[in-house]
Amino acid sequence: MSSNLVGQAPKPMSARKRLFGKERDWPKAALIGGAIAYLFLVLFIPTLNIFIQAFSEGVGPFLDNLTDPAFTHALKLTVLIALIVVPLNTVFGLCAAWAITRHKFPGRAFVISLLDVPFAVSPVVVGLMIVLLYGRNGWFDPLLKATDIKIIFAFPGMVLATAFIAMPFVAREVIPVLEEAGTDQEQAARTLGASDWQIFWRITLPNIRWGLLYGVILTNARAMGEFGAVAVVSGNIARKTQTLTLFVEDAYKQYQTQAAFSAAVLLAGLAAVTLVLKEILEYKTKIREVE
Amino acid sequence: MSVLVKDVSKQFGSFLAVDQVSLEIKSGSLVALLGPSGSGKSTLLRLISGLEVPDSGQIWLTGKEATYQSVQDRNIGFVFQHYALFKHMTIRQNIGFGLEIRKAPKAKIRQRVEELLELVQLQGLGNRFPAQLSGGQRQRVALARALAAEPRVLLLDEPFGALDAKVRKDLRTWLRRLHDEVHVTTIFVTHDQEEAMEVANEIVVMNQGRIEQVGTPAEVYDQPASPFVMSFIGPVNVLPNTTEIFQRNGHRAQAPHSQVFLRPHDVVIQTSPGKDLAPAKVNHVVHLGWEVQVELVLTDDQVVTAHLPRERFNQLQIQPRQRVYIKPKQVKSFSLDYLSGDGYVDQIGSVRGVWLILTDTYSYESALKQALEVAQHSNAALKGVFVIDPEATAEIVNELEDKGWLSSGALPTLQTSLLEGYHTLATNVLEKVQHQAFQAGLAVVETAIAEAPLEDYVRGLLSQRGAVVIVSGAKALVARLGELSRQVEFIEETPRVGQHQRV
Repeated sequence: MSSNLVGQAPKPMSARKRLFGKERDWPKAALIGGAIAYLFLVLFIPTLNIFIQAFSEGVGPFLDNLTDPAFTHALKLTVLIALIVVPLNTVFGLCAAWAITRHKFPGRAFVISLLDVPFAVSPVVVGLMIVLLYGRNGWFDPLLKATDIKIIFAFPGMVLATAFIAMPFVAREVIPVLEEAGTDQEQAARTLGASDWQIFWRITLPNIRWGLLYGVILTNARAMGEFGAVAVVSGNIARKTQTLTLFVEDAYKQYQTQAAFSAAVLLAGLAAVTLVLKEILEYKTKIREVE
Repeated sequence: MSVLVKDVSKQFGSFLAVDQVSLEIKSGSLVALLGPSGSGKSTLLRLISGLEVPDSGQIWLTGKEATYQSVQDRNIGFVFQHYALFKHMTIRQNIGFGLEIRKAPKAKIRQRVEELLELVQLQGLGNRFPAQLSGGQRQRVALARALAAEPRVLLLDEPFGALDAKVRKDLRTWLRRLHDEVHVTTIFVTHDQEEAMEVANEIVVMNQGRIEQVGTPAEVYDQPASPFVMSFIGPVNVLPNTTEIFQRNGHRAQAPHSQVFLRPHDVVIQTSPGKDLAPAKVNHVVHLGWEVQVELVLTDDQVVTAHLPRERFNQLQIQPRQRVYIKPKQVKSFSLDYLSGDGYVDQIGSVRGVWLILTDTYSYESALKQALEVAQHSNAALKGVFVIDPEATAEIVNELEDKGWLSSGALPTLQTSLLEGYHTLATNVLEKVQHQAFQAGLAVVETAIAEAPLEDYVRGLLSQRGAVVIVSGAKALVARLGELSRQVEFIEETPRVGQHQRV
């Protein structure tokens, strides 16, 4: 009886295996098809639509839109904010990542979760918080009035809001890279006579450069694309406190669909550049890992 | 002397990693720090390198104090277990890093890097990145990098730990040869006793943050200073002294419960009964290459492992379950029980030195006689006398000198007295003795301790450390303590003799 079973065992097993293999193709195809369809619907068609709308009346009007003073001002403002926020957050993110990975201090876990606050809080709420702090009747209102510094409905407020929103990216990207690199190489450099400053520039930084660059790119993307918080803080005054995203919304609301889509094309272009950079970085990192 | 470690301690939280360690390493030697994990060997190495700062004690490098000198200024070479090569630099850049930091001229760096590439046999690989090399090659690059700036000391932390067995074996021989060529003082950490024996000229055996023994590979194997060293270096049978094989041939100890250490290759096996031979049954035979391991069960169910050469094994034609007859060729015991009472002198194994504690003047003569006898018997020196009678110190030393027992001024004295009573006094003194004697790798013989708690204390101490303490006249002291306690202030003088272990 038992010897019979053993002898016959392989046949039904392999048959069942084949069956399973075929069955598995079904859900596989369905899942892939579903995912592609969803991507088309949610991502590809809307993006394509932006380009179609922007160029619906030809290239001429599109270029006109790009030379509109309100638009150029918004573009300048967006770039300026990014130029301030990105270096600021990069330095802060590096310091935070270094402190968190290289030191054990009380409240370390708290600092790590604090880094995630900008992810968790809705940008509109962030804008509101800043208004409540620096706006009329806010905590710092007396001080601001006395020194005649304007923050709300002005450039400093927009920088503050963007800095808050784009804060975690560098630290979040650098922490795992720093942890993975460990302290061995830094210690080795010390035994070879390198000072702390030399160790940072020649050992630590080269080791984390790809992670750091990736963090910088994400920070930049977030800073340029930010809408909610900046909308609340800036007051959205054309040619004064209007960033590109605000310009898009404003133009659309005033039925200047074409202008809105033209600006959107530029934003999408910026995003595409960011994406390409990110892909290149990921590819390079992968090559290094394989090495 | 190239490296001097003086009473160094290091604590991590509540864990005492290095406990009052003193060590002296001669210039140009190749030393292994050997011990199980957690024995403090790596921490000691990192303390020497400056990567850790000691809580107390001093570290000297090539005759200069370096205790608080920064790692950067110490000019040491350090090799890490996982290589720690700079991943983003080529092999050449890695090796040249130290020289570049020191702002050496470019041409000189280039020349030195080529020299080192040749030394570690990696010519032609200079432009590769670390990730493109094998583990063994990477470790050789790490070595070249550490040697580039001509360090005062080369320190290696488990250098072969991450490599596979074959490569490890090759690298060991290679390191040995490299040291013959370069001659830089080298200290390496390992938990592998075979590796330590093969590579080093001196082995420092560590356990629980302390040094157990310092000696050549032959010394630590043939004359282990403690049960720990005996069992850590090479295989050993640990048997109660009541075991039949010891009863039959005079190795029998006098007190019960003490342990006897027997190396597997010191077991003599014969197929026919005879004088001194105890019957045993063969349980198991394992072929280890040129040696054969035989597991034997004695009539009292004690299991003994024996190693014998293949030739001898073939001669005897031993089969499992066969009855054979065995005897020990040589045994070792470290127990206090083994040594106490009359005739103990005959049974002392290896004693590296004797320290005498005199608690009063009445009995010093006989105590000293005993101490000298022990010392003579075991070819060790009487290394120190502790006198715990402050009033009589000078007197005793003078008398000892007059009688020709002491060479003038050669022996340090320790004067001490405590105000709390006998136990505290004795315990404190013993702690000091333990401390200094162990630091110096000495043994001390105990004879006349009557009080039970103290005896337990010494017993515990001996079972851990394998040391022997002589204390004389303890009882007489008790009577005199009352009057002494009020008059005497605590005086301590650290002995200078035998303070550091010489390597």
